[in-house]
Amino acid sequence: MSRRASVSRSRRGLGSIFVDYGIYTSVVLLFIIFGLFLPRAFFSLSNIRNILISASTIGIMAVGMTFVIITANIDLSVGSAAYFAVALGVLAMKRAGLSPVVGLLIILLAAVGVGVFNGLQITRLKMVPLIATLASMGIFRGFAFQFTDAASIYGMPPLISRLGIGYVGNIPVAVILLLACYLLAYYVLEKSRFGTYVYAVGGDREAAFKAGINVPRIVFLVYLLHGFFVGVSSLILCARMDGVVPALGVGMEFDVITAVILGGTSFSGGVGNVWGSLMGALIITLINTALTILNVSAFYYDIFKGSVILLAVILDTFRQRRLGIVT
Amino acid sequence: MSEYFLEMRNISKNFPGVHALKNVTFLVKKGEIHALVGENGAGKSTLMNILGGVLQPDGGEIFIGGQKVFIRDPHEARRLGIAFIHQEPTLFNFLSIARNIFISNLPVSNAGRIDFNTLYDRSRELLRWVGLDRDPRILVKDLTLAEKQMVEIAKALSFKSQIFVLDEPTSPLTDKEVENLFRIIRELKAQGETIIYISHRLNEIFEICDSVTVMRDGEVIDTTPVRETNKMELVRKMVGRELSMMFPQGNDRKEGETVLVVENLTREPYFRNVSFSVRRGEILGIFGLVGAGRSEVARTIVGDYRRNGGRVFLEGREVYFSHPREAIAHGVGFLTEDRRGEGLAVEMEVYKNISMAMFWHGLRQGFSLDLKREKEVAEKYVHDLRIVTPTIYQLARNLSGGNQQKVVVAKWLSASPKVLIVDEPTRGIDVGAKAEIYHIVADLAKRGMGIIFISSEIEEILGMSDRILIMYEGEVVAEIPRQEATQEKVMYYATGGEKVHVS
Repeated sequence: MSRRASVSRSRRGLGSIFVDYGIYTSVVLLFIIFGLFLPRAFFSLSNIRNILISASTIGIMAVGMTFVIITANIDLSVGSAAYFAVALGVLAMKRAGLSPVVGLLIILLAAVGVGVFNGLQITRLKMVPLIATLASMGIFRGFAFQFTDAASIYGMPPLISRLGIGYVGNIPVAVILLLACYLLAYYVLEKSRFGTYVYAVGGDREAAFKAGINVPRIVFLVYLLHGFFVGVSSLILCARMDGVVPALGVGMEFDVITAVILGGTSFSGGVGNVWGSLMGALIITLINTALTILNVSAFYYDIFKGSVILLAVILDTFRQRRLGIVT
Repeated sequence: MSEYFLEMRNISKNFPGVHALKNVTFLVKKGEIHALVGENGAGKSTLMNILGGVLQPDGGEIFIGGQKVFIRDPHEARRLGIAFIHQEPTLFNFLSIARNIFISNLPVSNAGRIDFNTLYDRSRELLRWVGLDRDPRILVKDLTLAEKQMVEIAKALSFKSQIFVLDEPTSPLTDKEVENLFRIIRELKAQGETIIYISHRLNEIFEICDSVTVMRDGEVIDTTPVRETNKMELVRKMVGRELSMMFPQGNDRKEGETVLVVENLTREPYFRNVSFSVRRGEILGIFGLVGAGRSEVARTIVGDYRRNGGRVFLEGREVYFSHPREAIAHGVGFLTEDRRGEGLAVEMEVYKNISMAMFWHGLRQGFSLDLKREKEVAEKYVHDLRIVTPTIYQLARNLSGGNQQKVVVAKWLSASPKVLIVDEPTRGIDVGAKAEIYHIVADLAKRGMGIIFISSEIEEILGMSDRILIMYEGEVVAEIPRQEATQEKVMYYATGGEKVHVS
């Protein structure tokens, strides 16, 4: 009797360990599994480096998205924001002939601008974040189509290219940016007063208000900060595309949100951390890479990714139940 | 300078349909422990929320130390030295104890970085003061309710305050913890701080407070030194008014056989071992103050909450409802206290609202619904209950509170229940509509329905019930027949007077 109880307890223990730390083990497991079934090429140094570079764009967006989801909000417009920002920057450099530094700033500022736009919709107009950012998703992609005539424009100056494909020593610049963003986010979220407010606003809006926290201001700043991370990610995208293509960022919100939820940040708000999101971004990238190498049909590709989202949400539900957020 | 440290003068506040505060003047001297008492809905919390900057008054002035102040948000209240310990904890489960204590004034060093050394040192100091032996770095979610309350208190002590507002601080605490809290309050008083203490437990007021202000119906009735009054007098002031003529007079109802029996029903942490029975044609009143567990009992009977133990019998057969839908199907209707949130679909038409509860058995016709009958039934109830609406196609949200409530009543009647549980059926509706609701409920009992009437308004409990069950902190502490019930007696038990069974 007591033995059976202890067995079931340890099983529950394993289960909860998987829910809590599953993300880290999953990354390792996926890597090993893919390694076993995929051609040698998967394990090559250049491929690993490529995976990290690919992970950088989703990963950096996931940083900002982690902040957004911890405050119990959402942003569907990241892909469109990236396309919009890159389009503006590329046009400024290629058509208006502005300098690469200005182009770079335009990309960053445009992405921040979309963040500010979202933040204002949500805090000033009191719009539901899902709808507000859905609107932005349409609006900014539409603008970018209009500006570029939905055409691809190539040929980036070295300053920008270096961000996407350059190296410092043996380490890709994009990977350095990725790690820098995560360290910065970790510091802000865990060590600063602002970060504590972010958790507080997501954990209990009403209580945060009663504690004297300016809730709308925190939400607005979170969207602004998120816009900055989207901007950094857009720079890398621009560099890797060597310009702008109409499909840039399509469906990216899917990958980014999945990465964050896989990483243990909860839709209910108030819970989450950035390192989990990094792992989530790695998982998404590993899956993308594996499916590409295996040359899987595009249809299966969507089914597979949809299933990963489903899994992430199921995990989130289990986690919420265990943390007592829902019963 | 006036002799009062805190002066709230002529404060008024209106909520849609309710005059919550009517020209209230509330005066507190420096360094005293001032109790604020009153029935549920008397306006205590509204008044204190105005002081705390959570609500804005519609009129009136506030002075602190003779200075006129404008408290436009909680942040401003804190700056003025008003510390608020809320009734329901305002803690963040996924932040550490230390961060919770200092959430409003986190110590920051360079570059926005929290100064963790200061944070943890000062937290340990405060935790020692409130007598909570816990590491300030652990998350609040891992604490018990009582421990959370102590963190809440530590939070209020974390900044220099001169007025401490404690709103029902002792409800989750054990006797020992209450003693501990009183020690802290006395220490604050010794330091010359001013304390406003809201409680339903009158014994506590006589133990620790200097003055007491009684509120009733959004007005201040009286302020006296505690030593010049006694418990009975306080209760009389809290209850006050004469029983009006609002209630159906003369009981010509015939009580039939027992229809619902509840035995040792338990749902932790809300209530335990609750037993009672209801007859056909009888109105059983259940009275209790906030947190007594009244509504939770009803929710557990109909299956909205899972029970931990106990049994329920309907017409002699044991029943277990795992969802309110099943309760309806078996003839147990539940009129919830949260009308807008749970009872009424405000964006739907009146007739849809009325027919909602009968979908499951009353209107089904093969795979579809008998839509013609749906409307006939709705017309009938609109007429019978005199629901004031232009047509049955009107959206429910356009009706007045009283008429909305009648729509909810009609909804339950359309399911023709044997037992109807009504929870605070007159909350937030005007006097005229209240009287109508009372008559409708009495009429239903006359027609043989067993009624459980739950309320925190002592007046309507006395006016409506044949028998009164009184709950205090999750237990039934008394059962009194109508003839023997007085306001004082009921209030006495409901404030934890004594646990005896009167039969």
